[in-house]
Amino acid sequence: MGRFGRTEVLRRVTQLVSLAAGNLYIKGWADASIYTGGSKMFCIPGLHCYSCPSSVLACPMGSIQSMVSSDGFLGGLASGRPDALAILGILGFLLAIGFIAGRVACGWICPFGMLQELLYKIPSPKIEVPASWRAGKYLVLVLFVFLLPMTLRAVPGAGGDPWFCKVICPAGTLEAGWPLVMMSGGEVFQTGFLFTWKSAVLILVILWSITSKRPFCRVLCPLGAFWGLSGKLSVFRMRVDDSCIDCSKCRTVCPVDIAIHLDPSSAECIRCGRCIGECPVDAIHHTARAGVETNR
Amino acid sequence: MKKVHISIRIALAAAALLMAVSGYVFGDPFVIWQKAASICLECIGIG
Amino acid sequence: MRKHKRVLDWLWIPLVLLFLVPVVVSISGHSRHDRPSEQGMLILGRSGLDSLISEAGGRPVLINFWATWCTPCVGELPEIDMVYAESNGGIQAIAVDIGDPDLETLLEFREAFSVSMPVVWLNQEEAQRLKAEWELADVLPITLFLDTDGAETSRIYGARSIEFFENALSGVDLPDTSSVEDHGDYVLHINVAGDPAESLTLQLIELSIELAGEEGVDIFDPADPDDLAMLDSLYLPASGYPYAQPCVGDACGRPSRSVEELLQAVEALSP
Repeated sequence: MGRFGRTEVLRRVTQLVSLAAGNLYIKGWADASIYTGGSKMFCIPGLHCYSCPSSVLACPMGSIQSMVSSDGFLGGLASGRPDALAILGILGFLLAIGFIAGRVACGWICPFGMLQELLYKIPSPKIEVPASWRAGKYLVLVLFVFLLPMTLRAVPGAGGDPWFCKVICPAGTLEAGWPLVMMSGGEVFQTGFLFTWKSAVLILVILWSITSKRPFCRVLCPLGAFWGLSGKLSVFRMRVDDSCIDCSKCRTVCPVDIAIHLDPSSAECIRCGRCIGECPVDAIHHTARAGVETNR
Repeated sequence: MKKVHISIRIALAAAALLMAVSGYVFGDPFVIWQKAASICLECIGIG
Repeated sequence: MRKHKRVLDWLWIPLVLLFLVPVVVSISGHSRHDRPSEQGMLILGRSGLDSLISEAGGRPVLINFWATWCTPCVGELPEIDMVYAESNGGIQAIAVDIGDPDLETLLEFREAFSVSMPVVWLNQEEAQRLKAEWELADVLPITLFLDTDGAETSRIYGARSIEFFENALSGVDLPDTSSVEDHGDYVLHINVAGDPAESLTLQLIELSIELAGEEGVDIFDPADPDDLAMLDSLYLPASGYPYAQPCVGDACGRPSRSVEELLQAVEALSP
């Protein structure tokens, strides 16, 4: 990490502090309980399961699914029912972050993003993920976070299910599924097909993170999709000056494998700032300058 | 996207913040808490 | 090579769609697990109950009020469920959980216990409102029978056997036992669970013995694994200690967590 200088140290410290701040309820790990305090009305800016024993905040993706899947959600939103209106609190919070600095929380806060970065440090053959696969996360966002929870009803008249949590989210399996099942000795929680499926997904994501750069963030993460889209219109952006010599060193160090010098406003950029320090001609900057995005 | 003026970008961010606040003021954040404060069996692949 | 690359470029679509497999499996496969009976539906809220009743149209309806912590209720549910299953749709049976404020308790319970009849869960507020509206006493289980017009024909407090329900639904007239005294001898029994070193536990034990006599009180210390296992097998709550739960025959009151609550719960049970 030293190689990337002060920004990278600061970023790792921020990630660790966020991880600690979001997990103050250490007691949960001792007795397999979860935190039930009022702070769980607010979401962590990152993918972090609210059923994680120590978590003191809510997961934004989980909360959104839970709300849109409730019976009569759309009607409730249209008629201003308070339980449906609460979704504005979460969407507004996420949009505000995205409109200010895009996927900045992916790079600086999200614990699951940090985990993938650390896994990538494990020596192994490294495999590039095709750039087209980045589209996957938008499909996940639309299908598993909004459409399926809103439409699929196993029981008529009852609520739907949080399908992203249920069949994909590896963070939930890692932070809540595995620990809670292990701590209860498998007695309280009867595991079945879904648990096996989700465990397999998590193991594959872990293995993939060793060989490829942050694969979950880039291909599957619905939160990344949300912030990537809103980040297209963010106040703070990346700018690359004319002085760029196309050496591509920025891409080599980029944790999400983008060529910032070709596309400074990429929806993938997690604003980590690694490339800024790495650029041999100091051509890469953060900017909020009016009217200018890139000179290239 | 390049042509979107900085003032519009700032306005968007401000609008989003306003939306977040209004969600908590006019909405019922209890529903967020309710889901987050009980073990989400579906989320962990059990329910 | 080019073609190979193009296939690779589109591979993200099947990758994401692969996640539809568990969706389809879990939507269609509720009977995948070997359960004694196929798990019926779970419906949340009062509106669900009302629509189940109105959907019964022309069939007799049995409504059973229960809670996961109510031992006799849990013993009785499979009996009712058997009658329901054997009727092949001839009757509507509904199990209404009015005693578990936390839905998660019921969900966990359903992991190990299945009934084919629909189960309705009401939150505390809805349960209180319904109890007032239908004038239900503070005991469980309670079973209501509605005739084909939806009018209440009888009301049973306490658990019954499969024969009883068969008779009841085949049109045999039933004595209404809506006051507990009708139903056998009045023998009060109280289960107390809690740390015996705690003063509230001692107060509850003292009051329980005063009310039910030495013989009518069972005391469980959750710190003792044997006692804990016993609590579990009786479906008594494994949290919120100390508490005392009074039962008369096969009807039980709520677990009480103070002397006043216990007095009220016993009052509700007494003739």
